[in-house]
Formats: sequence, C-alpha cells, structure tokens
Amino acid sequence: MLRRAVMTLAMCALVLTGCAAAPSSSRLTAADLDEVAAAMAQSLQASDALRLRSADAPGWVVTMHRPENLSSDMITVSERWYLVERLRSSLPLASLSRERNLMFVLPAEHAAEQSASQGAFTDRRPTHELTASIRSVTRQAELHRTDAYAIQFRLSEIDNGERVWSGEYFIKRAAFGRAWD
Amino acid sequence: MLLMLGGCSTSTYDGRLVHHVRTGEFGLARGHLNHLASANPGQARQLLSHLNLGVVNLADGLASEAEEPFQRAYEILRLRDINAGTRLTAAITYEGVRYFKGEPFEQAMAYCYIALQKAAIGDYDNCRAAANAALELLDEFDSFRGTTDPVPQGFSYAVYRNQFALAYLLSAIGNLGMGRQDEAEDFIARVTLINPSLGGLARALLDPSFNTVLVIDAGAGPRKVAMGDGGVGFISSERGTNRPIDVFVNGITAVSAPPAANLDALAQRYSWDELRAARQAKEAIGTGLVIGGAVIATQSRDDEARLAGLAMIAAGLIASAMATPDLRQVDIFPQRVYIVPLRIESPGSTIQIAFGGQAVLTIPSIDPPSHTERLKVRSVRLPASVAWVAGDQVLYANDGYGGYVPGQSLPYILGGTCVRMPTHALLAEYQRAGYLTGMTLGELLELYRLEGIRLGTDGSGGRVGGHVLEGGSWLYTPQDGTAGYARLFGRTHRPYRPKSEAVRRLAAEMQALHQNPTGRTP
Repeated sequence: MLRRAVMTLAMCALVLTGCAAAPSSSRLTAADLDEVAAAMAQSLQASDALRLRSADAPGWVVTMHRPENLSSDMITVSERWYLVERLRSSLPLASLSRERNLMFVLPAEHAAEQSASQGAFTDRRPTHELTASIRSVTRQAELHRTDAYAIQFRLSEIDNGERVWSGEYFIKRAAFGRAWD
Repeated sequence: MLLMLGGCSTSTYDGRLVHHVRTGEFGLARGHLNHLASANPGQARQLLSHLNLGVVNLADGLASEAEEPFQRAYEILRLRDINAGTRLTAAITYEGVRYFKGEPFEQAMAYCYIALQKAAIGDYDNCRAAANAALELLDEFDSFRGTTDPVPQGFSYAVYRNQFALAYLLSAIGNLGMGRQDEAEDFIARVTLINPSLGGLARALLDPSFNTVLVIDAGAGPRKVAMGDGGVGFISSERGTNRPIDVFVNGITAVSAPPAANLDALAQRYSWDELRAARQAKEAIGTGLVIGGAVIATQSRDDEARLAGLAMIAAGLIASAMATPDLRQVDIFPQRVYIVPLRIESPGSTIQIAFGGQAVLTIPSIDPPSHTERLKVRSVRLPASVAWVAGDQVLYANDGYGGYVPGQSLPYILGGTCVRMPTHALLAEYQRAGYLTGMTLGELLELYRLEGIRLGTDGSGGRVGGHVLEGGSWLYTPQDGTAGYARLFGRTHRPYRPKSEAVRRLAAEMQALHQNPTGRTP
C-alpha cells in the first residue's frame, strides 16, 4: 500500500513537472547578433556612402570600435566584438577595396594595445570609424517582460565627425514567469 | 525510502569553504571548489557552484578569472520560471527537487558581484547592466508581493522603487566609468535620498579627484535556518553591526564609511518562504499518520490492522521527512558591503583598513588608475584577524609592482623572490645582476615546464590552481588593491622546493653564486 502511494505521488509529480513551460529569457541571443550584423552589412553596402564611391575616390580606412552596451542585458565584450566582426565579414571586402577604395583595419581598441609597433599603422591611418550602440526599453507587466532592443551603427569621418552612414535594427524579446524563481 | 529521504539533505553548507573564506585563504577556497568540481562535474554546473567560484576569484584579486563563472551564473539568473516545473512537486514531495536559484536577496547580491567584477576589469557597460538587473529583480519581486515602495519623484534614470543602495551605487560607478555623468548623478542623488548617511561618500564618486573605489566585504552573511514552525528564516551569523569602516591611504585617514548594504537586513526583506504552508501540512499529516498508526498497531488484535498501522507510521515518517525545509544558500556572502571612494596619487600606495582604530587588513602597493582609466575599482574581502593583515611591504617582485624587492633578480623557483612572468626583458634584468648568464628565454621557460608550473591563467575558465608561492603550480599576479594580492605578496612564504633535478642543481649554483663574496646580491 505504501509503495503504491509513493508511486502514485511520484507519478503525479512527474505529470505536474511535465506540464510546466520551459524557462525563458528576454536576452539577446547569438542568432540575434548574426541577424543584426547581416542586416547592417546589407544596409551599409546599399548606402549612398558606399554605392556612390569609385575606385578613384580618396581612400577610406575604417576602424571599428567596441559597441557600447546601454541595454538592460549584459552583453560580453567578446560578443560585442563579434557583432562588429560579423558585420565586417558579411561585407565583400575584396571588391570594396578594389572598386570603392575602402578597407577595414584593426579595431581601434586593439590597435591602441599595439602602441609599441604603431609605426606599422601609419600608412593605414584610419579616416573613418564605425561605432555602434545597443539600447533597450523594458516593459514589465506582472510576470510578462518584454525587451525591445535597438542596435544602431554609425560610420563617421574621424577628422570632422561627419556621419556618412547610420543604420538601426530592432529586435523584440519577450519572456514570462517569475524572475526570482 | 526513509533512509533515502533522510539522506537527501536540503542543506549544502560547506564548512571548509566558509572557513577558508573567513580566514582569507582564497587560494585554498578555490582549490577546494576545484576539487569538488572534478569530483562532481554535474554539481559544478549549478548556479551555486558558479557563484562560489566567482566570489572566491574576485576576492582573490582574480577579476578576469571570475568572468566565466559569473557569466554562467548570469545566464541562469536571467532565466524566468526555472522552477515552474518543480513548484508543485516540491510542495507535495521533497523540496530538494527545486533548482537552487537562491532567495531574491541572494540573486540581487549575485548581480551586484557580477557588476563589481565587470567594474574591476573596466567593463563598465556591463557593470551598469548587472547593477540595474539587481534593481529590476527586487522591484519585480516587490510588485509580486504587493510591497512596492512609492514611485520616486524627480529622477530621470534611477526610477526603480526599491531601496537597495548598493546596486544604485554600482550602477552609478558603471555610468561614471562610461562617462555618463548625468545618469551617475541621478543614481547618486537617489542613494542620498535612500540613505542620507551615504550621501557624502556617494557624492565623492562624482569628484574627478577620487580615482579609486574599494568595494569592501566584511563579516559573515546571514544563515538560513528552520524556524521550528515549518517556516524558514535568516539569522545573523555574527553580532549585527553597522559600524563604519576606516580606510587610510599611506597612513592618512582617507574615508570613514557606513555600510552600503547589510545583508542581515536585506535577507529579512527579500527572502521568500513560499512552501511554509505545504511544509506545515506535510508535518501535520505525518504526525497524524504516526499517531494514528501507533494507536492501530498497538491496540488492534487483528494482524492485518496492525500491519496497516505500521504502514501508516512509515507513511507518516515519510511525510514528516518530506517536510524538511530547503536550507541551501550562498554560504560565503558577507554581512556588510562598504563602498569607499579614494584618492590614490602615488604608485605603490599602501591602504590600511580598520574598524574603530583596529587594523584588519593592510594592502601594500596600489597604483593610481592608468591614464586611460577614469576609475579603478577593486573588490576587497576582509579576512578574520590573521597574521598577514599587518604586512605593508611587497616581499615578492610581481607583475603588478614597479618598486624594488630584495632578491628580485632571481626567480623564486631558483631561490630568489621574483614571481614575475618570464619575458626577454625580465631575463635581461636577471642577467644584468649576474644571474642566469648565457641562458635563453626558451631555456628559462623550460625550467618552469620541468617544474610543472603553469604560466598565467589563460584558458582556465576561472578554475585557477594554487599559486607557486603557496605550494601550488600556477604563476600569476592578482590585481593590486585586493586581499589576494596582499596575501600572496605581503607575507613571507616558504622557500621553493624544486621538483626537477635541473632546477635543483641550478638553484644550488645560484645559491653558491649568491654566497660568493665577489658574487652579486639577488
């Protein structure tokens, strides 16, 4: 009898456990970063800033900065570098160099770390910088949470700060349940 | 079954870990955690293990090495409804089936530690995000319970309702590090409103001449205990005190600060005993079954009835055993956390921390932040009173110290006091002093390899082994301004015992060279 009672109890517990929804999170995922990078690369490539350039145009050397995270989610430094690196690698770098006289160089932060050998970069002094920021707006209603992320990229001239291109991508992530449990 | 339930302890209190942390032996604490992880890899992937390792690494001055465990902890903390599938099961059967996510106050503290770790490595964006996550969590919990504080008026950024000053301060530090002055000012104004006694310190953070912030942990955090009525509560591990901490820089009083957080008080407000009624019911059912079963078993003359009585007793004991509360907690949280802004002007400054005139820790050699940094943030875990708290000299040359240390011209493994990472420049320094002449860097590195010494902590995933100065086989330099730095380099360690014949022979040669009247002083 005891054994049957315990078995019944265990079965009930298993059934109850099986009915529960999987835990969820409103964080950005790696797939989201891929999606952002691909869309932004497409936007940059289609922009007048690049489309109207020719092989004879004055050379652009674009350096990249680590995106600033102003969102409610913690996004690691490596994930943020991954985002700009994915954008860069989604571009046709060889044809951009050949047909648009544009090249990307070491990220500024990394180049600064190489200050001892800075002479090596003098012939490729950056003329432009690619910056990005990740923001979010959070909506909380009882156990529902929604985070709307806006990821903005900007390409600017370093000398005068003039913005030659900007693009923005929005992602919404929702989750349900108790944050503390 | 009874034995099994009895053996399913819902407490994970780790006395050895707590002892090591209390005595400031963070290297031993990490070694203990590493041992547990290798013995039980599944357990090592749990939130509690990640948090323990992160907190210990941070306390030991290994902020970068705390990144991996804290990142894993963050991923788990941000999941909602981890226990949705276990709520009813835990209420009906055994509470140990619940995934340990900690009480809300433990989760808020976990976010604060993550924020602190991010600040300590200069990742202020994520410091801000993690500190705000603590505030969001407490607001959500308050809202769920209907204990929300009033909406603060006149704030643009610090719009959370709860009054967890530590998280507001950490968010302000994150914003300052990012150069977001307006937002930092808003958070600091909010702290001043929450706790006016913290106002002066908080405002000092805005003063650009304050370039260093120590986040100091003191005391032992509250203990989770069964209250006897089926309930669970937190009691102070040590006499509650909000006494201010005094911090001296180079012997001059710099700051006297009240705590920014007292976990005894935090635990009272932000803990959650959802299963108390279920526990009481299980206990009542269990007691009823045992008493009823005992009556039937002893009074009845029918064998079958007596057997049924015995079965009732067994079922009652099982029900009572299942009423055992879940006492798991983060054992190594402190009782108090202080935030201390300092002005460090000269490299190699000495910090002394005291309570009521009694020194509790001396940290030798902290430098001002580099020219590219607005702030330097360090986590300091105060040990209980142990001998090395008084050491104010750096006794071993390390990669975080630019001053002279007697014996620095020879590696520690060869009888000197140098535990810097071997490089061409360092080898040249040894050779200028007359040692290791003719040796190449490759040959020097080979000596470390022969001794089984691992250079640096790259790729360790936070599971760093013991330092060579403490009998371990790892060579690294903790961050300056931490208790880990003071413990390793501020007290004398036993001379190195070579394991390989090559190092033993070379160490003897170096010793002979040192004793030669015409020889050099290492």
